Amino acid sequence: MINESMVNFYFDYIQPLLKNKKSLIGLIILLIYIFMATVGAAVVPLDMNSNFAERYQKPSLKHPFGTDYFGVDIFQQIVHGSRAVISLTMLASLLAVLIGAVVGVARGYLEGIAGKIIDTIIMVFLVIPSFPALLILAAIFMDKDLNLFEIALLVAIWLWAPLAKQISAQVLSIKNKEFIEASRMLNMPLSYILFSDITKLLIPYIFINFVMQIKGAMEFSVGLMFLGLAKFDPTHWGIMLNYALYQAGALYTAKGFHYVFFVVLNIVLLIYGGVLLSQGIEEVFNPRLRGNE
Amino acid sequence: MALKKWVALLTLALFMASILVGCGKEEPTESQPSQNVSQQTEQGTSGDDKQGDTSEAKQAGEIRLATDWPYPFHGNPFGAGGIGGAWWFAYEPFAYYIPKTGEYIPRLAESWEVDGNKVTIKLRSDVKFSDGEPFTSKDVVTTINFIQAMWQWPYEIEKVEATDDHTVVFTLTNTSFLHTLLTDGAMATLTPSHVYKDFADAAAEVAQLGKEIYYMEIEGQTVPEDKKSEYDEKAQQLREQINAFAPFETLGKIPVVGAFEPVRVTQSEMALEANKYHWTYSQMKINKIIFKKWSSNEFVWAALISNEVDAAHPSMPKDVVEQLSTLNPNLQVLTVSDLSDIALVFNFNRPLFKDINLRKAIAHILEKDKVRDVSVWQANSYGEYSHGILKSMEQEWLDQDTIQKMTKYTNDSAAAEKILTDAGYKKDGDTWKTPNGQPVQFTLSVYGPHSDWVLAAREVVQQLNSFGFKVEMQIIPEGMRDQVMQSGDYDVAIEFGATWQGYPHPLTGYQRLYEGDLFKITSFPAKEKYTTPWGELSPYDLALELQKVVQDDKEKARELIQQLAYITNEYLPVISLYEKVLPIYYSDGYKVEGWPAKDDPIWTLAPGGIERVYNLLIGTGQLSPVAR
Repeated sequence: MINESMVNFYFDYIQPLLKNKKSLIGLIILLIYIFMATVGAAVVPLDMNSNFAERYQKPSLKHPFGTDYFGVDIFQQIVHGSRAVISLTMLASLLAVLIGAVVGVARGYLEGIAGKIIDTIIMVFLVIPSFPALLILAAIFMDKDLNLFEIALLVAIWLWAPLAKQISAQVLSIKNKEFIEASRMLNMPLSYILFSDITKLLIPYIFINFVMQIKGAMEFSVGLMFLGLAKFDPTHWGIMLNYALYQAGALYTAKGFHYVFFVVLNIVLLIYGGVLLSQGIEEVFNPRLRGNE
Repeated sequence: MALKKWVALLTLALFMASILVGCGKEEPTESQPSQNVSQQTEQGTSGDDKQGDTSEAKQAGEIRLATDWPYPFHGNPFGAGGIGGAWWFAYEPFAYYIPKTGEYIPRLAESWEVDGNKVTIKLRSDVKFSDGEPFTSKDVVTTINFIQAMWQWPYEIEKVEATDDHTVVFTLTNTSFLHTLLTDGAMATLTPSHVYKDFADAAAEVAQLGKEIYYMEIEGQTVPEDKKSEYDEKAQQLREQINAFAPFETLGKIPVVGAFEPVRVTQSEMALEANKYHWTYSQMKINKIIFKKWSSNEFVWAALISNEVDAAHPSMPKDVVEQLSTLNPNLQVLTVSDLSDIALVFNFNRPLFKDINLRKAIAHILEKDKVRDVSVWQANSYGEYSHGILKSMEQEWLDQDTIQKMTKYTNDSAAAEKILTDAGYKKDGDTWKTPNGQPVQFTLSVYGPHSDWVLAAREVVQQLNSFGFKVEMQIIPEGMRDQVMQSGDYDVAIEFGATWQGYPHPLTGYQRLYEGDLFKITSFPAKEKYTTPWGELSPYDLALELQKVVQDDKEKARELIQQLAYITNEYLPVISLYEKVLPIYYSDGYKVEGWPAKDDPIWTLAPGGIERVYNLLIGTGQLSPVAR
């Protein structure tokens, strides 16, 4: 029975994704980075000892991405930093999307006082300027030793509100459709209508938002490190980019081009992989897009 | 349909015309809100009538610099941000001091005499504010009252009297304050009597009350509660009034004694015009200063490359400097000591750091030159000692005999291992453990906005971890440095070690270390006695004694400095990493010429106020616009 359902799952969900070029390429890119984050650190040793005389070495066999301002191998740092990027930023994006989706769907469907209260909460989080709020959080939590989940949650708190607002608008536009009316007539529970009827339709939209949140989560996590809230990790790609641009001035010297380039390339590739996958998912599962094929 | 098409075309044409008109404006900054455009016009016309104006046609030279200022601009030296980078152009000290030569260059003071604790200063008689009002000794008394009332400083000035229009007599609590009195820009001209007259009596009263309370407290007397309440109430009232005072807005100007007066301030640019009453006015070849907003170091780098500014002093990575010189051949660079060093400071409330063996081991582990290279590559290397005397001043202040007595902290992991092993530490796998079996584990805190400190911290953490300690880096968020350091919420931190700004003398550094700011944040047991070749000595007592003899008994002062240097090096309250330098970049021959030679002692005036150098060079007519 279990095997049969797994087979069905494969043919219903996995195989169409593997057949779609966009989702396949996106999946490969993401798998490379997940592999890098999980296994890479064990395979590629990290030597963070600086060697100023060897700064800005060009890419070579010894240093595939060259060396940075400190004379440290950039490739090694990218590999070791991928763990922090994948874990912290993806977890933060996931949490932001979860909160945003639940609150957004609830706001879109519910009317009256409950809807207004949720709307007010969303508006409050939309208008709070995130940087001063982070400064206050830094003052509150500086002494606390926050774990990965808590830090991700701190990041997510400032990212979920725009998504919730967008989703609530989407829900408002579909909540009076016939199939929702039908569910209501059949006295289906509210949770079924919200999270089965409505949310399923929004999955591609939510997924692409999850991918787009990665960039925001990365910026926020760097902000948290510079505010002393998160453990300072010099191999985090955001920190590497910060060092390259603002401390080492790599953009102001031709020697430093590869320093910025390889960090940005990896950030872009990670996000692009996610975008391709989400576009593929939408093409595969959205009946309207599928009909145009 | 045709009508719609014509309307669309007409709209497009109007849009294009408005863009072209916008592009035609000469000064892009005019699109920004200027606070005082009308005032500029008014001054331009009334300036012709000023008695200080000379008939000689003046060259309309300008110099463009970079700095920061508060916006909206209030023009109040006590308000948030003061008057920003215009400070040294607008306010004058009694004298400038050139650290390299030890020479005082008179500014407001014609001469001064010291008799015990009394300092009599004769003021120049030809000084006027930029609005034509004469500057007299009454303005000095008013200023001292205001700064004591507003800043609760300097209580080293016990009394100040104007004996005539151009003579001021100061009574000091100790003569070590003399240098600050003479050279600090806040001592004489902040509050023109004719501008601040409504608050002058209240300021004098609050200053007097504050001094009385302070003197009672340092003498160990109990201050009556009613006196404290009276002070608190009056001081609060005065501060509220003064902080709300915005002369630039209400008067449309800030009358200044200095050579330049701010006349137009926007968010991106501040323009200063020469004070036609200044005693150097007739010699000036540059009579306008344009400050560009120092929004970030990267902006200043770009501005130097493109000749948008003529001089600036940003911290700059080595490769960027090389690139800069290629792109802008006019650009010259030099460095002078910033009269401060960057150090690793320990929190002595943490038991781990009470152990001198651990501190000595750290001194041996650290490869200071590597730290310097990645942090501020132009900085002066400290080598093997950590004696609290700035490296550039070492030869001047330390005897060879003293240096030979000191421990050399060479970069030597084996020496560090031996010190730790002898003290009972053990290495378990990759990690060093204390004699009681705990890993040597701590956090290194560093103030985030100081990017050079962050780079130094990164390197220090790396070196200590490589040795086998467990060290994590913690960033102190912007605005929280004082709170974190003063509350002692850190293990080890990157901080200023010995800073000699103000009074460039070892006394300044040792006071900071053993009784001043650093002593308060490290809790180093400075009052304890330490074994030295001169016997058991307390650095706290030595610093106090040095303060007493510094002006009158040079020989004794030198002896005390040797002893303090020895204690600092042997007992390591801090580990000095490198001596900070101030890199100065100037574009020679693009818009301005006449810059002094790179080894000219005048450059050593730059730490703590580089604008003084520019001011001096403009006032003597040395800097001039390039003739085209």
